[in-house]
Amino acid sequence: MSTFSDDLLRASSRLLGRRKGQKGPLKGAYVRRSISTTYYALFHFLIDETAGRLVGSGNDLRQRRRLFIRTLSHAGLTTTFGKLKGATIDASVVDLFRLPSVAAGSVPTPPFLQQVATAYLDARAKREDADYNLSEPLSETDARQLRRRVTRAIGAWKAANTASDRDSKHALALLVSLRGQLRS
Amino acid sequence: MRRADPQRLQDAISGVIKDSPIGRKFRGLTLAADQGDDDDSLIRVVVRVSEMEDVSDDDIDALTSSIEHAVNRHDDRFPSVRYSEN
Repeated sequence: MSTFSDDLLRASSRLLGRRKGQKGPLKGAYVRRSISTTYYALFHFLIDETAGRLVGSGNDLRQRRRLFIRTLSHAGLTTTFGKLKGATIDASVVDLFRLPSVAAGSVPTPPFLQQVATAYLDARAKREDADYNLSEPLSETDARQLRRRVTRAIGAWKAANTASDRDSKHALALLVSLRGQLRS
Repeated sequence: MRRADPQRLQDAISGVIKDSPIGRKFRGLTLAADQGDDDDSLIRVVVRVSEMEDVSDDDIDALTSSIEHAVNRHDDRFPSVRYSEN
């Protein structure tokens, strides 16, 4: 069964389709809707993953997951992923991601998390311009490139299944629920 | 948070683009810091090219990644890379 996120990715692709014989550039509205839809595909994928890890993934918990998801925000995810975009995890949240067996010091950002983080930041930036800032040019190339990037990032997340990866995903879910901020 | 000199960033990114498969189509570059409400952690990078028709997806993806790495060597803001034909 396809997820809401899968359906949004399909919709973003359809918005970039051409009728038989159609040539020339796509209308800006289609390009911008596609970019926005791609962003929401990643956003919903991430908040579903977060809720599944922190609330539980059982069918009987669906209502509880939805209530929890309503507390998550775009700004919270942006803050979170801004701290995971680099080669090492931001010092302000590194303790959350450090395994108990690992000594103090910097912690490399797991590649799949860095891939998701940069995809999210790029998608968020483009979605803001697509929806609200018509003076910023966005092209069909941008829409297609973003869709490929988000698709790959979701694939990398799904493929990351070692014990260490699962621990990182759980730490990420906690950080998302805390809007990207830890008290010192 | 590190902030690079704008001209230094411009030169670093231009160098990456000129060395890429779309180097011959490269027509210019615009850098703009975010003016939004959230914060100033974003920088828009608009790459102007003469045409995109025969540029492969792989070339676009590789160039985008190379530009991001080039920016990250000098600046902590996230570069959102866009392509414009003109």
